[in-house]
Amino acid sequence: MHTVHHLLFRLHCRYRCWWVVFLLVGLMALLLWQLGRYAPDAHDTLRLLYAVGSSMVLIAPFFQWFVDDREWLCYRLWGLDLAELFRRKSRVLVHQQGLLALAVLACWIILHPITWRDDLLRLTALVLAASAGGLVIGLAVYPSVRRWWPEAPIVAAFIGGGAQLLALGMALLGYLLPLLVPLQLFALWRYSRPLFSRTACALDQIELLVERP
Amino acid sequence: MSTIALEVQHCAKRFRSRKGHVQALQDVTFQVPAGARCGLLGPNGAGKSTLIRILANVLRPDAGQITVLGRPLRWGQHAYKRQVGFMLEDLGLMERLTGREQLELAAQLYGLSPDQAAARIESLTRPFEVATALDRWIETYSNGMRRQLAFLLALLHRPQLIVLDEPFEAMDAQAIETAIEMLRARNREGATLLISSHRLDKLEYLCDYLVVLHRGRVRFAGSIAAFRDHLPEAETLEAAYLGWLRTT
Repeated sequence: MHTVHHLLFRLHCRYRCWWVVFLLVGLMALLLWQLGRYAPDAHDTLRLLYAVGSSMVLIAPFFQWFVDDREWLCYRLWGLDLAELFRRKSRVLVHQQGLLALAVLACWIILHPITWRDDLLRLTALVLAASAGGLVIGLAVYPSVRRWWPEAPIVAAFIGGGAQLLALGMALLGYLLPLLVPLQLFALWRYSRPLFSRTACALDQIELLVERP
Repeated sequence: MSTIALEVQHCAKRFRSRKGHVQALQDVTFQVPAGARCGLLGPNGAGKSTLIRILANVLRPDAGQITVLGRPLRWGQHAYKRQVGFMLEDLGLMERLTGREQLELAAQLYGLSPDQAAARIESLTRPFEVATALDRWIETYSNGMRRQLAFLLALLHRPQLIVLDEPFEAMDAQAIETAIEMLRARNREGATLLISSHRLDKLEYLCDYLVVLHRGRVRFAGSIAAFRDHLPEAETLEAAYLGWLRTT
């Protein structure tokens, strides 16, 4: 018997060609590493490019995270507490994004054995800040988006992904110091607890008009 | 425990569109006694599926009160479904899971322990064809298998009230027979049934109570014997129903 976490993880991983994502990150890291050998002065720029490019892959799990109407109908028929479900699903998202983040960091460490210690803290902080911010922002806007747009999961994923990139950009530009990241994570965690309940309550008020199969 | 499992009073629902509106349900009022095996009957467009979606709190009624197992139904509250099993026309299946995974997910979210869930999934699925395909993705299932899985999901948590919309559609003869026997067994254990179907022969065999909808209104609610009294010469429920439709 599989656990709920395991089943939700599978539900959100199917169809997603993870190896392509890992391959792209690896190729990008390799390319930037090669460029860095020919232009050592551009190391900082290349590092920035890698951080931006590789963190794009963290958006991928968002596109299956927000419940579409068919999945939502299941939960509604089972009489499920959506707030509890969001808590479970957020752990699944952290799991998925954590795996991707590990791949991103691993690529960097393998290809930059000399400077990786200097970069590790910054990259880790960026990844954490970006992924946590995206989830909270995406979930906060989801009920409003769903009320007006049938394609709400995709739209919310773009908004969440956009917020993630914004957090990343701020961090890279120095507005968000890595040391502030734990504070940001704590604030997001505190905010996410009432957010799950509020979002669930708003979604429970929406009629479901699922197309006939 | 209440002697009425389901009470619908003055329920109305109107769908709006750019071309106007459709009054799907109008002043629908009926009761289903606890322990009854109730058939929900009506021609296409009568409002059966809309009514069942309202009972499942998937659609919001424009007016009326509904009481389920002695408690008033409130929009936006879904906890009562722990005691009610629903199978809608929309089925509610997760295409990206296998049949077994969806049953396991539902069972655990219903609060069954892993051992309980495994035993119940095994005993429920065994008589059905879908048991041979439980480890395949649901998107590869035939229509009949999807119906079987949705039917089993409605029974998984041993609900006191079972509400099914067209459960026999696309099922083969053997699956229908198994499903009917399963429903009768649950009814003997105290569950109330409300089943919408166009398979009148199956409804006649399974049910003892009937609610007939026509153009969004309840035209009959009572025992099957009382319904057949409208046309005493009719030999079957189907003949009585067709005769009744001609006079309506």
